[in-house]
Amino acid sequence: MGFVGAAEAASTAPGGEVVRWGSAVDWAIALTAGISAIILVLIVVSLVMFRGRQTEGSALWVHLLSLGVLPLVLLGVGQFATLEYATEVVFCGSCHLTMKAYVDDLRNPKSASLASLHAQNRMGPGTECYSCHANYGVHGTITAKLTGLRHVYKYNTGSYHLPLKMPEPFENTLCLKCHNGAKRFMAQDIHLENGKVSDELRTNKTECISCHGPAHDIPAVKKAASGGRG
Amino acid sequence: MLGRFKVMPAIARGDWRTRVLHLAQLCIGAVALLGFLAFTLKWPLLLLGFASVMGLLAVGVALYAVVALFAQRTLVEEEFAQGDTIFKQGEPGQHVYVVKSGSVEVVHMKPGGQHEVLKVLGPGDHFGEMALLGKAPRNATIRAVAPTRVFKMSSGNFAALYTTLPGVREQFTKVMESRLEELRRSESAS
Repeated sequence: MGFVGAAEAASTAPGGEVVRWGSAVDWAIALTAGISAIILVLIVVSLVMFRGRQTEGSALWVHLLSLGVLPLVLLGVGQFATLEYATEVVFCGSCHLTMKAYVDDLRNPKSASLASLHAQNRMGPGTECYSCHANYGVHGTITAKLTGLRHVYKYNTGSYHLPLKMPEPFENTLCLKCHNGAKRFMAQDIHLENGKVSDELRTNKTECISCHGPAHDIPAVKKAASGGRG
Repeated sequence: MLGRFKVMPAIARGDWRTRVLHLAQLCIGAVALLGFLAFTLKWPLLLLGFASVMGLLAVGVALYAVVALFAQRTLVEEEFAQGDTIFKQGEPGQHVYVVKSGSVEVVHMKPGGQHEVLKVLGPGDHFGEMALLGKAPRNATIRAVAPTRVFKMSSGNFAALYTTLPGVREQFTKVMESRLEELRRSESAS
């Protein structure tokens, strides 16, 4: 436990280690917890020392801080911290019953799965799940968050089914958002048509995963003991 | 007792601002508690809860804004413990007070550093108007001698009452003259 974020995620990936604390999400998490604690302390101070007073003397400043300035700061910082923390592998992995096998594979330096190879090559360190499973731009981010909400709900109500299945085929565009234009990718004629990414790949007629799989190398999933339905 | 202020009970409609303030504290406190737990324990459900109720922060701030706005514009009820100083001699005056319950003492600090209790005021008595009417700093310190609740009125509202209600004006003028006389006696005695 503690105020750790991207750095912790990097440290647990194969070969990863904590180089330096201080990314934006690290700060956002620390600030959210810190500001929340300060607000709580000020509210207790107000209830104990300034009960019944609203704007008299020091009560004005205590209330202005705890009920005006700090909540507005918390609103911004907290939103950022929540959205950013939810992109990290540690967050996805916190649903142990369903995600542990995937995260273990991701962090297994001997695995040859796509997920693990990406992690071994430090592509999106700490946010590997999100990097591959969220689509372009704001639309993709919002969809990913809504899907994440559904996952948290299903996990906590035990209404998920094992083995987990993709609700729809994995779109090649999710791979192409990084690989399109990359030197090694463009050097393979099979990917191209008139010097550009082929229509076969663009339209998902041929899935990337059909040649480059498996995406995840996980042991046969056993029925979870705690309510997950297999 | 000096100047029973009969108009006040008619305007005072209970201490709803304190209740609104507590509601704002409840909204913001609940979110802050969730935020603190969510980012120290890192439980997805807590994070989800925090993200879901974050809008209450805006509700809490809006409620507090209402309290702060009305505190400046209308009559506000405030509470003081025994020994609390409500205002100090020499401070600029911005409000007039009427004692709702409990009692306060009027303490005059003399140039030599001595202080004298001029009066003890109880329910219905008012204080603080002299600094507003005379546009001068507070000429005495007011301290609660028992748990006390007071109605506090801003200078703008006091001016509105004072200028539009002749009875109120007459009452305050009498009281002010009487208190100035007491102050003069206190200073000449020292």
